[in-house]
Amino acid sequence: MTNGNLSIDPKISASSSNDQNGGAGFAWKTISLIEKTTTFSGAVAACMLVAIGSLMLLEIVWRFILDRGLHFTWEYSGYAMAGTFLLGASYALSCGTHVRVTALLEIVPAEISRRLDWVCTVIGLIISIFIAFALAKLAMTSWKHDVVSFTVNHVPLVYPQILMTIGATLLAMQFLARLIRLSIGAAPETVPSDDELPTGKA
Amino acid sequence: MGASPIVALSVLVVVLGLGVWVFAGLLSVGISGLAFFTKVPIDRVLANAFWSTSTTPELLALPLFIYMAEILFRTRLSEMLLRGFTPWVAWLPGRLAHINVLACTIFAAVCGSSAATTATIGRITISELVGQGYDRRIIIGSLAGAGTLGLLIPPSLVMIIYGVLAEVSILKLFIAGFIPGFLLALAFMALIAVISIINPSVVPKSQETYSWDDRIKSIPLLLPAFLLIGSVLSSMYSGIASPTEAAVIGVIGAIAISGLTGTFSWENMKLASMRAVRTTSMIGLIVAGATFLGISIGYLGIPRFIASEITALNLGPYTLIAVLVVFYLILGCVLEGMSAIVMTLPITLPLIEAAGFDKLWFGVFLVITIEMAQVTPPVGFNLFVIQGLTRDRIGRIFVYTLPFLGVMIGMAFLVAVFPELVTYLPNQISFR
Repeated sequence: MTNGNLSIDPKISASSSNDQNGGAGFAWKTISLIEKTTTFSGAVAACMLVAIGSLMLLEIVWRFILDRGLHFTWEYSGYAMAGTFLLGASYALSCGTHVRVTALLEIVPAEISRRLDWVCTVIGLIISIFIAFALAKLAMTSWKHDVVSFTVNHVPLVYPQILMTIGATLLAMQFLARLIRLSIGAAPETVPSDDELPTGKA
Repeated sequence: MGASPIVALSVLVVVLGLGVWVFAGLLSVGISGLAFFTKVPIDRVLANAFWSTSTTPELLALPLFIYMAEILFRTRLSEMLLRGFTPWVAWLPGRLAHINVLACTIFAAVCGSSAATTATIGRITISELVGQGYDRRIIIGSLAGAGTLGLLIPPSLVMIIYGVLAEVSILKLFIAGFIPGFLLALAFMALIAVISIINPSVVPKSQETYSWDDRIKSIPLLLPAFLLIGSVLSSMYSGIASPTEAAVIGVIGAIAISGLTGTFSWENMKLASMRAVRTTSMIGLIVAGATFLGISIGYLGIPRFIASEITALNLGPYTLIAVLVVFYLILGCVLEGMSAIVMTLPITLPLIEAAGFDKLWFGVFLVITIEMAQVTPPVGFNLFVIQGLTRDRIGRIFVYTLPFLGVMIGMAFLVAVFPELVTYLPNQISFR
């Protein structure tokens, strides 16, 4: 299993959209817009990761000084982690980080491989739309019934759940961008230049 | 009911084999299973699985240890380990080839990921040691083998995930991995020594000797890594910090090492953060997907069904373990280790419990099995990482790795026959 790397023409990237015109130009504009949004979402997720670290550090320091924990650090860190997971998902997809078995895609001829990849992307799109739908419904329920957390903080759960919904929606959009990329014969993802090792293969 | 586990597993294999992303594959099988065989509100089950998994406090150690590894990846730590260990190992049969094992062990103890360990140590040791005339086979083989220690030696990402899914204390898992991890490292070193005694040509002839003076001078190079490991592990084992809080200490320590080695910059921190987000999100979605699949197949009664079938087969406990090892090795040939664990755990865990095995022991045993899967083709992540570094063919890298794989298989048997190797330490240490 490796990151999908089925470059049809790796030189084609969203930045070359200016050269395109008509339908392809519109397609590139759409891709570019989605990818900018997902990168931004990745940056927000990175801030949340830093927030988890900072909250936990605060917890340790607080306990060291006052010998008792803070009542909100663990809970808020949990919400930040949910944010990191979902808001980072679309960005991870655009970089080709989500793992998949590419053995078959690498064996078959390029044209079949591209079609197969297209089918996989459609499945990914459908699944991510369903995740977004399910999370949106959860957030709606929390909002309608004013559901708050079972802790002393009484955090309205709709807020973290909305963040997750946004993340899942962006994931669906990134799948759409991937689908467009495949349809116009471009490389399905742009692997960043800092990719020295396959990410996160624990 | 009889056919549903086979249908579910076949669908999963087909979907994943096609190349669908692992998280989406897990979800699609769970969703279709629930849709065809039950009347439960799928969206609610899915949303709750996502919500509970992504806010689980025990899982918080995961993003932080990933972050720590990403920061360390950009420091000169591996270079320092190479230079620092040289005077200490040069007298051993196999000389500097041991550095691969030692540096991987130390790096594994600060990072928790097998691929990151292999890549970080490998990109320094391969060029340096092969350049000095060491045999490629022993260098690449030992790197592939020792690189997997990242899974076993605490902190380990796979153990965090197993702990959350199997509801076992992550701290206890970390402690349990200690003895098998270090035994495995020692066994790798012993193998290197034996190979170089049998075939002295694998090590270049060198008259270079090092004095105690050289060794003492090398200590400052090793100190940062040892201090970092010491602070992370001791804070957990002494009960001062939970694995999550220890991970924060690790992140701070990694930033300090980055500052000390002159590699700290905002650009590097930004890169490390963004990469950590990608990895965290990738693993998070897989864990959420596996949780959902676990709940779904629970609704379908599959674990109960399989457990009763296996009980009817009347396998002895050791036969069951042997069957599972073979199963995971085959699975490991086509799936990445962590995914293999998360997608099968809902089925194998009830089996193990029914056979009277300790969940803690099984966690460590499973990690060793998955370590082997990391170095078996066609899908072995450590092989991929090394291929990225050396451009050798996967098959050739695998052949170089075979003796080290043999050691790992031996270790798995040892742990199965003497479960105390795993359970002794966690039973000795009392918890808060």
